[in-house]
Amino acid sequence: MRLDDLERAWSAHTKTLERSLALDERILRELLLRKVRFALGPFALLRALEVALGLLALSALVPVVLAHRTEPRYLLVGVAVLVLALGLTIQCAGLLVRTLQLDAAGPVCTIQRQVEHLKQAEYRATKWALLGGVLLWLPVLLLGFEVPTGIPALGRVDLAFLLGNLVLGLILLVLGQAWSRRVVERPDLAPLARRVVDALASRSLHSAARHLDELARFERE
Amino acid sequence: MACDPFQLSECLRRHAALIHRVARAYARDAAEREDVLQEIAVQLWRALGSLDPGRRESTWVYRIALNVAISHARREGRHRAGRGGEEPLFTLAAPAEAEPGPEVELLQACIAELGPLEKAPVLLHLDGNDHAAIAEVLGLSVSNVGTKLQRTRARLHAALERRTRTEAPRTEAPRTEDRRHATG
Repeated sequence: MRLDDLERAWSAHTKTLERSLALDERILRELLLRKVRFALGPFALLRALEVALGLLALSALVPVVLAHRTEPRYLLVGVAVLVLALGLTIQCAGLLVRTLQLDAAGPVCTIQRQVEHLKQAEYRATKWALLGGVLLWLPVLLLGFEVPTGIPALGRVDLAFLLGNLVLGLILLVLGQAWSRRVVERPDLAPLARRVVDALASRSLHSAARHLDELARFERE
Repeated sequence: MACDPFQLSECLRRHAALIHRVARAYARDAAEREDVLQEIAVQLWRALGSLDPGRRESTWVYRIALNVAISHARREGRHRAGRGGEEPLFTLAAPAEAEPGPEVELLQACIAELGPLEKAPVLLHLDGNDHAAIAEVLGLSVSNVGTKLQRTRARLHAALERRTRTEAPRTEAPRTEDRRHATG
């Protein structure tokens, strides 16, 4: 059997399909268009929520850190927390804008490149949120506690306890990375667990980089 | 953002075969094909506002359908994003006579061996698009499309030969048995 024969059969089948495919569009009317709108909502909404939370955290924490700017502990820990919050907020805002600007009707190679770059940015944001969260969750909690109560909790906590928590965070990170590498190939992980494991093991980043290489080869050859 | 249901249903009707073929080429089973079809419909609806009346509508539909299908094929984890239990946005019903015959199925199986990107120019070529039209959809140069199609057709040819060779003994075997029975 020759390829040309198969191509002719394909062509004939295409004509049959064009004649006989029946589009059932009953369900495309008003009711289900609402569903389309709803289907588009969650992703952009989640990103917008992340940006709003980031801005809220910044607006609440900046005055606390500024009020204690002469204390080295606040300056060191507070600035680390603010840098992380600002970085993540900027990353999330960038992702939101780039997601909304993505035009699926663009040339396939261009859009696929944009999609892979977007994925890389999203994986980096997830990774930084995980790393920062594990290391800085206690200072964030202590600084946050001061916002409504006015009690300088960070200043009152024992320095050894703070450092111990940081060391524990580092140990957890190392263990988490080792664990994620062990379970990364398991297919039965829940979507959220999959996202965390992929980010920790850098699997998603490598995969996006591989797709970009593949795309570059495709465009070049 | 345009949201005219009539415009969308007309567009789906005009390009039903094209969308159906792209979804079929990139999905591994019927359920996944349904997911791809619904995703394409959502993206078409989203992009209706950007449709330039001065340009070929099929180019616009091809771009959206292929972008959706390639992204779907590459999605990490391959877990079902979960339209499970939901009513589909639309259905494309193919009657029995429109089911692909063995030759088309064989070609589909050979195409399935290609990577997500390699499939795109082949599908466009099989749908009768010339090199310039394929280049416009994919964002490649015309000469690049020519080279790519030549190489991909060679790969398809090799896949076809391999499949024909492995299929042949299976189809030959009963005949040999029959002959033995006849002579015995």
